[in-house]
Amino acid sequence: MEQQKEPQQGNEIEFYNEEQFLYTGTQVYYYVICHRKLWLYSHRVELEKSSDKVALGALLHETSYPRLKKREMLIDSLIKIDVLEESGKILEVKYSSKMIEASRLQVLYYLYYLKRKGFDGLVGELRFPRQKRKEDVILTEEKEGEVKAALQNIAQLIEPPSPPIVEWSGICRPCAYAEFCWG
Amino acid sequence: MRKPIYIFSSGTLERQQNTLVFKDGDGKKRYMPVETIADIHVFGELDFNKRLLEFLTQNEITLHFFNHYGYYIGSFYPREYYNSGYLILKQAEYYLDILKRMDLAKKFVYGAINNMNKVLEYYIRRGAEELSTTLEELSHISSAVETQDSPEALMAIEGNAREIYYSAFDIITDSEDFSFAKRTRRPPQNRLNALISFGNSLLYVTVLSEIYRTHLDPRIGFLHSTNFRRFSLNLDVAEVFKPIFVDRLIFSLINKNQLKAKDFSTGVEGVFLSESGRQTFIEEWENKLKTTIDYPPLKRKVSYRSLIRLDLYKIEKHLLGDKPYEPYASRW
Ligand code: SF4
Repeated sequence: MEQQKEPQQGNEIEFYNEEQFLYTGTQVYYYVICHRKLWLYSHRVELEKSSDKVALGALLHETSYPRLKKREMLIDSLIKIDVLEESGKILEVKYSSKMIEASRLQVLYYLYYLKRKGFDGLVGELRFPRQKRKEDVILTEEKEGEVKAALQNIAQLIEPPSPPIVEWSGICRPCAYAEFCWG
Repeated sequence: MRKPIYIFSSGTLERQQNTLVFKDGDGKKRYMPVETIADIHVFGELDFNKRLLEFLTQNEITLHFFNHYGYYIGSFYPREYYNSGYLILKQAEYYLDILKRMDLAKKFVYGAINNMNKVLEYYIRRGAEELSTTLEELSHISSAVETQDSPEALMAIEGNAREIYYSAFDIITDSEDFSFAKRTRRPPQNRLNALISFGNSLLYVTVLSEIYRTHLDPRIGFLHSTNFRRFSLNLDVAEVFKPIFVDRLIFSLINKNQLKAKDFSTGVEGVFLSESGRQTFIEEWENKLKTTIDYPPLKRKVSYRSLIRLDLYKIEKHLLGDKPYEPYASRW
């Protein structure tokens, strides 16, 4: 058996619970965005690296709140979250509120994940620096059900050997896969 | 957009902080910001160290080497940065299953012949009516593709098709300095053959550089056998694009008098382009790759270079069982 990785610089926490979710925040996010994108990404047919949009998002992420004390944590080598130092809130910064539904579910998934690890009562926060807007994300019982359903669906969606057929939607145009899907 | 770099003179290529520096024999330095480079083509003698290769790997830059005569020697193909185990398994599966392999291999041959047809039809429309017989012969060959049951037999058919197609070159160029006679490879025996060899080499490395930006493994080809030592997928895909990228460029270089007999040298190694000739060729080659054309599926214009990438994506989709591969078909 391969050894688990050592925690890096104290910002990686390893949990050794029996229960493991095998999905990343990005997978949950893509589940809302586009099932085909989820499938491709889950089979490591990634195309994001060359996309300027992603670089822009990362840059914005770094420069949006310079005074904000936050800590990036990688949990179980699987999900990466930003935690606000003062309030302990889990923060997610997105450069566009267009994908708000997806971001919401992503944060809910983090909260759910952490709750199952024993961290109850955490609150999430979405931030949209461009719109100077923020929003609390709270894991209610109903939302928990949504997350569970999503996780089940993800498992089913990525199971088939071929990706779901391509369907045009408004988000195809800026999508990093546009040339792949439509070329 | 990252740009390809061509190095013709001899010298040293090294890393200086985050920049590449080329020092030529006279000590003159040329600085190249690394993030602007797509790949590097080396024609001169080059000294470099491992530090440089590490730097190129970090920045995902492929390095292609050509010998003194301008023929391709090999490439430094850095560790892949896109890596999908699933897709590689699929690629191997399609290679090992002879039916699946033949299906793809035939598509490359059909794609190639179809684009040869497009070239001939263009010249027929411009008055070279005698090419109609060539076209007929080609369609005859094309109808034999379907019944082939081994990649070797298919390669032979491909070879026949190309021979027939090459026989049209003298009619298209109509230049004594560039008469074709027959295809000779190693070494090319006349100027036209030298041009074809050189152009094909450029296409092979261009396709290889594009493969690097996908999830495909260049060592697993379908038409060209994998011998585990060489890249072969780029040879497959290049077949589709040779007529429209390489051959058309050659006709235009000759018919516009951009290349003349003096741009070639003859020696024991056969006939090859001189350095000035190579520079002219590469300049027009790069212009061609940058040219954009309408691409209806995407409802926008794309460059010639991206046509290659789009075909590679189509091959990926084929391997994923998403959509059968249809090779790029020139519209004129
Ligand atoms: S281009 Fe459209 S269909 Fe393809 S992955 Fe992106 S959003 Fe989904």
